[in-house]
Amino acid sequence: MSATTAVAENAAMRLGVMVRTNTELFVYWQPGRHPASLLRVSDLTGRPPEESLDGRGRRDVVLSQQVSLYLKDLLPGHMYFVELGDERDGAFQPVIGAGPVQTPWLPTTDASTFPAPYHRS
Amino acid sequence: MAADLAFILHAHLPYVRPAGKEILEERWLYEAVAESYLPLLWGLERLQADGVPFRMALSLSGPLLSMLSDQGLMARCRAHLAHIAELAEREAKRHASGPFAAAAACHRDRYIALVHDLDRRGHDLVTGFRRLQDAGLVELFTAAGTHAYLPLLGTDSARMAHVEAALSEYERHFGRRPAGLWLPECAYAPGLDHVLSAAGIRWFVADTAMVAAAYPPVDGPVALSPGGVAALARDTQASRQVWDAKHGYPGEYAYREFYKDVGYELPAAEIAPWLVDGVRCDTGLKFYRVTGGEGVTKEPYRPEVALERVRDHARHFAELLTSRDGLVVAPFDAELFGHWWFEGPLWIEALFREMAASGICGVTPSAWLAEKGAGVPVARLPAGSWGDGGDYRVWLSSQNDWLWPEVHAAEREMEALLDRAEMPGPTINQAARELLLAEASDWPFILYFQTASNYARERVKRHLDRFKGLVSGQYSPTRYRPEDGVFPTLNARALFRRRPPVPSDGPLRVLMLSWEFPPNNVGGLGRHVHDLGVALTAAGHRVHVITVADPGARPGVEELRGMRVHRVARPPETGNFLAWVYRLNGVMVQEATRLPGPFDVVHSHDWLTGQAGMALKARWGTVLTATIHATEKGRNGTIREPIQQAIHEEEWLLTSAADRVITVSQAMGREVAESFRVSPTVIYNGVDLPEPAATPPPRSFDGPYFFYIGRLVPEKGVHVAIEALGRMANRAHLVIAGKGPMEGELQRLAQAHPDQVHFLGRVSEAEKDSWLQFAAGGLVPSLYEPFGIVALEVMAAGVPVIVGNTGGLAEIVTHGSDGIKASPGDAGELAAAMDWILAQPADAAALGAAGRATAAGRFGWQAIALETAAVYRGTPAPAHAPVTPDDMVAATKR
Repeated sequence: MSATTAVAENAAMRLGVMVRTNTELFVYWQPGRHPASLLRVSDLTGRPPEESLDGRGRRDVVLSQQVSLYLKDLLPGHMYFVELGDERDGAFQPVIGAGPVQTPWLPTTDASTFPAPYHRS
Repeated sequence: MAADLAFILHAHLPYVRPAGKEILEERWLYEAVAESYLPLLWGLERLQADGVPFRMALSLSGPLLSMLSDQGLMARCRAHLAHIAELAEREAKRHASGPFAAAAACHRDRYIALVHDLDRRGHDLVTGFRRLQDAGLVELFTAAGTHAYLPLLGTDSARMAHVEAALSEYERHFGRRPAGLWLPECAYAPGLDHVLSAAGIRWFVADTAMVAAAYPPVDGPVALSPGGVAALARDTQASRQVWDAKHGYPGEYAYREFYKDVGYELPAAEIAPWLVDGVRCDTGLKFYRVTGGEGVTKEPYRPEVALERVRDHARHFAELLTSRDGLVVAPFDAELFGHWWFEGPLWIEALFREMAASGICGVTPSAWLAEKGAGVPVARLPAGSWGDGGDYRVWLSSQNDWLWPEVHAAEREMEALLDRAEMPGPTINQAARELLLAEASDWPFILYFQTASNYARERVKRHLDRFKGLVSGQYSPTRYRPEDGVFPTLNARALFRRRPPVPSDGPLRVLMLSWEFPPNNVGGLGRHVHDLGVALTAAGHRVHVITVADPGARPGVEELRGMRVHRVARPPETGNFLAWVYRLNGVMVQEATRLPGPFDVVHSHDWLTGQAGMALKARWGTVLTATIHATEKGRNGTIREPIQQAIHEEEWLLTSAADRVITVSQAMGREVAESFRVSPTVIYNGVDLPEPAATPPPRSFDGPYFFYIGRLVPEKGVHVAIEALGRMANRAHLVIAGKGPMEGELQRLAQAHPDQVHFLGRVSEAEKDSWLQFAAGGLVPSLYEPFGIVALEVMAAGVPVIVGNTGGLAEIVTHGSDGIKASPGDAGELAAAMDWILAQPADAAALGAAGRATAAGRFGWQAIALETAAVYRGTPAPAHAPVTPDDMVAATKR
């Protein structure tokens, strides 16, 4: 298994969640029959709410027509589970979920302070 | 004092194999052969010929090995170099006198030598490297597959396919498997180490920050992953010295300038024969030196001056090594030396000569690990890479993110393809090649830096299109084989390993992993594993258990009621519990691999054996089942301390990797589902009906007593029981059996009730039965309890039980019917229940009898064995007849 990429699939759609940096995920989905209108990312790190995502352990993102997005301002070393679904009767109804994935617990670095390797191509 | 230098080069190029006319990108290989690979070979062979002792490691990626061993491609390479030699000859004549004479002559002589040497070798560089390995001077290893960025792939089978493809290609050339594997871009994620370990890999290179952030913290540049693979961290100082554009050696003003190539400098008409489709490009002939910073007028290159600087820089680096100690890991892209830093191969040669003069020769990673690896600490590394920011941002960005969904979709199609028996081998093999080629990390890298974006985009789309065409039967495999012929001996069905299904009926071979096992019972887990193993064995399955020997005891194997129990040597305490657990898991894996396999199921009990379960799943492809008996979050309410966080993450890794997850109660199931987003199956713990105690307890009191047995930790609520004693209307005693960190505090609380609270410490099974069966009641006043096996033991003994109304206890006991529930932490309610038992002896006896019937019926081990086997097989639990107390007694005596 990889702690940084999770791909889930059901009859309705496919959902991919990928760690990009210690504070950022890339999420994509390939819609099948079900157009999702809401994305929910939940912090499963187990920490008290004040130490978890957005101070309450989850974040909702209203979707329009896009099929991918970057979730930013997350926390290093935290575990995240992402669900797509709809809001019905005031409650979130997930259609598919993927994860958890874990952001690296590396400190945030300034990319310019240490040279990345030259590359052959 | 001198450091051990592990000098490591990684050679890789994207697989480019033109089908017909010349393309620009095939020159990547020719330039690397001319500027890096052959000059490197020359330097190392001169060292060998001169008897200079040196040791280093060199990774040759799978695509590179495929291309270097492709006679057609190497013939094109030879032709290209001969063509450049003609240009070099012409330029040398042009500059026969004047400021560029030395530079032009240097390049002419060099290209003539390259062509001659290539002919002398029969166009075969691989043999040259193999000879250096056979001489014990160079440790050759390889990189994952087509240089795929493994953490961003979507499935483990894709990751394993890249690793296996590379190892097979390596084996084809070198007749053995390598010990190390280069993770492309040093990209790593927790869990990947099991993929490497399963393939027999013992080390990889990690970035500095990843090892520095390892948990538990490590002191030094090497950490052993939980999967047993050593991560060697690149040394910051060594890297900067060579790599840093501003402070590194390659920026030296006397060295050859990279960017001013005659391909761009000469008039179009003069250079036209050396261009591809008229596009200006590098020829390799560069006659200027770096000269200075930006804006300076470049001056002619003087090879003799550059050579002096090479010696100075080699001496400087060697002095750095003699001023340090320990291991210095210095990994670099091989093409840095020669292609970008023209004098780089000469510097490597000069460095080893300088080192030899100082009495040091370097070390290969495998030799260093063989000598000093035993002391390497075990720790988990975070995800990371050696790219910008130390993370994945380069290979996953707005410039290239479009390719990942398509790659992941193709991976899933590939898995489905393996089940299509009618698919011809050549077709599925070529489809696998196309997928592997589409997954090369080169494409997202090029797209990110926008250096040859159109080509990279076209390559990804081309390979995915061909993959789809092959899968659909639209394309013939022979059509693309010449052009996409990487890994010529690839066998897709062997590469993408399919897990063998668990037999749907008949006996199963089960390997259970448990850190505790009777007589070493810390909590109820050991007892559970023992009883489940006995019941599965009684049902006809073959059960092996791997556990740890008691402190001071010797490891060994015993036959226990049909089970085979392997007690492995207890690792020495390291002062860090997590590191100790990782060591234990490593020992368990070693033991497991000695057992006669294969097993149908590996069953890990709790996170403490999770890493071993994951390792064996990766190694054998076996179904992994995990029983989660309790969680760290549940025990603590929330996660705060680093060790709690680490355990929480271990629980997540195990539940994520497991094919089946079992919990011992509905409450635990909800907890696991909420914490880790998996769907566990609930199978309750079981209990044996005890034989009647032969003798009463060794001590008696001036009144009835209540009995508690278990660990003395806060969540067990023993302090609530002591407080309840003081609130009772009747006088009673409280007998406490067990040990734990809260014992001192409980003894202090007990001073409020002189002569009423009695601490027994640890008791034997017989003593426990005796104390329990003569008690007025059994107390399980837990504040948190995933299941509560003790409550079942009290009920099985026919003794009235009072439990905290929480977790599994709330599910076991039906209040007023077969036991009494009290609110967790409420001493008043507990006292009232204890008083009721003393005041209503007949009703209490009836309650105890009802409890015994519940224990025998709902919680019989035969039924539990049936349910567990059904989970192993992935089938619904079979309907079964209710189990009677007589069945239970018979089962426990088998």
